[in-house]
Amino acid sequence: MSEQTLPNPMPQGNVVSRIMYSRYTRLILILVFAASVLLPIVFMATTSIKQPIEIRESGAILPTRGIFTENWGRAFANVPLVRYLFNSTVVAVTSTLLALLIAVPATYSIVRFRTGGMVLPSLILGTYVMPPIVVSIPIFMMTRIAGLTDTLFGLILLHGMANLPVAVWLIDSYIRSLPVELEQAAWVDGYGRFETLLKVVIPLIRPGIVSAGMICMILSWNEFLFALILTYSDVSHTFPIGISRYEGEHGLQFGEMAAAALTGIIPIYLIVLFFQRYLVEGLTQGGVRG
Amino acid sequence: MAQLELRNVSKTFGDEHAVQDLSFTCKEGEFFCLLGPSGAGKSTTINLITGIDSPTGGDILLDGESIVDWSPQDRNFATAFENYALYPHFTVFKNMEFPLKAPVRAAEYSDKDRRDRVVQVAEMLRIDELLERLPRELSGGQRQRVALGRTLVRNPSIYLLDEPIAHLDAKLRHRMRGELKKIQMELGITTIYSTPDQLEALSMADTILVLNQGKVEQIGTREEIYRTPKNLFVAQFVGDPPMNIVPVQYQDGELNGAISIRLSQDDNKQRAAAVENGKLLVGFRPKDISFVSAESASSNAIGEVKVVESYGRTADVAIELDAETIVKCKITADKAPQVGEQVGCQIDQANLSFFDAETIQRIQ
Repeated sequence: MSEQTLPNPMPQGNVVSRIMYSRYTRLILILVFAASVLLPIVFMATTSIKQPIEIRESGAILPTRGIFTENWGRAFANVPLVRYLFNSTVVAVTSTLLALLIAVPATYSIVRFRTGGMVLPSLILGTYVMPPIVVSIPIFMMTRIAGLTDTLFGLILLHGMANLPVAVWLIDSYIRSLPVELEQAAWVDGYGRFETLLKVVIPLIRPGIVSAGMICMILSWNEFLFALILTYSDVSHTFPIGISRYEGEHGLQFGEMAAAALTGIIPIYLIVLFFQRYLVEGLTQGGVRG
Repeated sequence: MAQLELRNVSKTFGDEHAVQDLSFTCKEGEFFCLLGPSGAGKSTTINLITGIDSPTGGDILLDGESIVDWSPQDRNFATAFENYALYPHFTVFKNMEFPLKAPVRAAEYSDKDRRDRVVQVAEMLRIDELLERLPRELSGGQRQRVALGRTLVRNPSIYLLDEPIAHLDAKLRHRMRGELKKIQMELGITTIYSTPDQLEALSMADTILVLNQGKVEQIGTREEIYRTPKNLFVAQFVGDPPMNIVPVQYQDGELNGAISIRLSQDDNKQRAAAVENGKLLVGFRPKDISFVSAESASSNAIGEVKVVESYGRTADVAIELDAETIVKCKITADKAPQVGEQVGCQIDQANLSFFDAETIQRIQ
């Protein structure tokens, strides 16, 4: 393993740079970062197996009074957690499909026909920049007039629309990078605009659609504010609202809450893991010259 | 089978004129070649014909009927794009089959018909081994043949081929020139073919349109384009090496400049006398020069041999007549002089071209 045969990313000579770029420094930085991300999750896991009294008393990470598994049973018994997870899944999946169904043709139209000129893309992004709480009152009123408060459908519509800008924004660059000649070839081959979108454009921007879908799903899964305003019963409560419902006679039940929270991150991780394999790069490679 | 006519077609992108006042007729079954350097407007012209772009002015007629408002899928033209435009997510087979499955003509072909056609064309283009591959697994030349194949599987009214063999290697290109011409003659389908390569145009086309900066320089048969170029641009674009152009002064039946010719034919004299001030550009093909000894009375110019490029049977010889004038001549390789040698050049007067030095237009 001589220095001549291996590419060496380290700048020579400068001692500070050498330390900065050394593999040990990198390893330490990675470990620090990983620990800072994982620590809350580890803490949550240990909290879920601590005695309620211990949680109130000590701030130690590991349980000191033995393992207490009852939190897990109670988490499911005291609150309809499964129902909330089901609601969250329905809302996340359906609102994502809704957002994508609108975002794909809308983005295509914005990119290829310059629909809305310069204004529409900025407006779309603008709606996302605005803090959601600003519109919470009108949204609540409108939902109530439509009779959709405390329904999953109302939340689906809202999440779908709220995540639309994100989906448009993510899909935009994928459509932009698609060589327009591929579409032109399809027209000459006898396909109309819409058929071309279905058979040529959508298969080729699939990674973009999948990543947009994953982001929308995560955003919907984690959304708290509108779910709080628009749902008032178990029929439509989603998981983040459910977490806030672990109140007992002695205040918040942190152990049960930790167990529920851990349960709640599992489905969304599974969904993301499942879709990750569709994030194939280089799908458009080889189509056009140069 | 169809006749295509463009009438005063123009296309501007912003302030830029991509194509200006383009008019031509491509007759039924004709092999029509758009010849011009890159940026001349060849691809724009093809896109206007296919309907990918709409002209900003003028009309396009198919068999006398205006098609300028028709969508591309209704025109039933087949195109091979210069940059291939293969569908990257389809195999070679599916790429070639795609136009046959289009809604506008899906009913015409059964599954078996489609497979047979694709395989037949693939065999002809020698890509039948590659049918299950994806475009990214192919070399540039193979991709270009797939693009061509996707065009040829169809039975369109017109083929539009945009530099379809430009990126093949020399040997394959040579073979494909012959193959394409053969296919076109067999099918008898009107073909519009764009190329920057004058040799391709001369070897394949029935009619050549020389395009430069969006304007027509000349339309004619390959004979006309080669023998009687309408202006200096055509003269210097067509032919390899291109036509030699030498500025001369005409007086009393004699051309004087870097070359001196006493005109012996009356029609040459007439043409040379057509310009009042006598300032002419005389043009002659490299093949119309022959070598004589430097002392010979029949030589029209004397110069030093600068470069000899031998191609086996023939050789191109560059001769410096004076500081500003180098002429090239094409001779059989065994008669090539040595570099540095002083030679006399004799110019065949039968094929002289005359251009007005000011307008650079041909004097007929």
